[in-house]
Amino acid sequence: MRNLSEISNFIDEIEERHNISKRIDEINRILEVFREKYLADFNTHIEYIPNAAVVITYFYFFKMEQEIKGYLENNSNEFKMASGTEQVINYVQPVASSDTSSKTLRQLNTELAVYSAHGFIAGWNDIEYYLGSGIESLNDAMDNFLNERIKILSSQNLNASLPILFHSQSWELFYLMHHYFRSAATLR
Amino acid sequence: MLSNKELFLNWIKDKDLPANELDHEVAKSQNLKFNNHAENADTKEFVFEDKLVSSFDLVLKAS
Repeated sequence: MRNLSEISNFIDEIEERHNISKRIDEINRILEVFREKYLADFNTHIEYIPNAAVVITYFYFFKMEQEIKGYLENNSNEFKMASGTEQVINYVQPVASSDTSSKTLRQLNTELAVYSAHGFIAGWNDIEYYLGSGIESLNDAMDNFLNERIKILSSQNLNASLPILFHSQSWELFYLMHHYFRSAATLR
Repeated sequence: MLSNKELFLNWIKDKDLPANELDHEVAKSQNLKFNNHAENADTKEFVFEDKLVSSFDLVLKAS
């Protein structure tokens, strides 16, 4: 989809299906808290590009609807939403300027991206999939992780950049969760 | 005053968008489907609270 008219029509469909303004408010809240935090803790002023929350929100839904949703059996889960937000913010680079010399704009934007993903995950108290009550739930989670991973890799666009570092972190997280939950189950 | 949609179109019109993560031809030929084990996250109520910031301090200080 490269034609602006096609994108415009696609956005119309997205606006009918999603509460865009609600998400813009959420993204604005994250941007403001991040800015306040940098001012309070690091005495650093951060400025964003114009309409940063609007661009982030619309591009998020554009990417998710165009590339991801068609491959989901049901709806988007918390992890895909967090990852999508993280990737979109990293692409948009909403932090336009700061008065610190200790970090580059690219570093600040990456921190904002990770901060936002973390905020979405931590903002829900009812993610129960990985927080099941026993070892059977853990095995189901691990099986699903491996099966979904094989699906992703089997269709990966090999002409795009290869996200080796991201995948290495996924494997590290897999390892940590596996050992953490096995230890927790043993102690019960 | 421009609408949010118009603001977005102004932003995206000159962008060289990133390549798709998946090869759609291959994915469609495999009838690729992911099982999410979750409700629709995009419609779930989300509250971003200040208290969450403290847990991110370590990330900021480590970077």
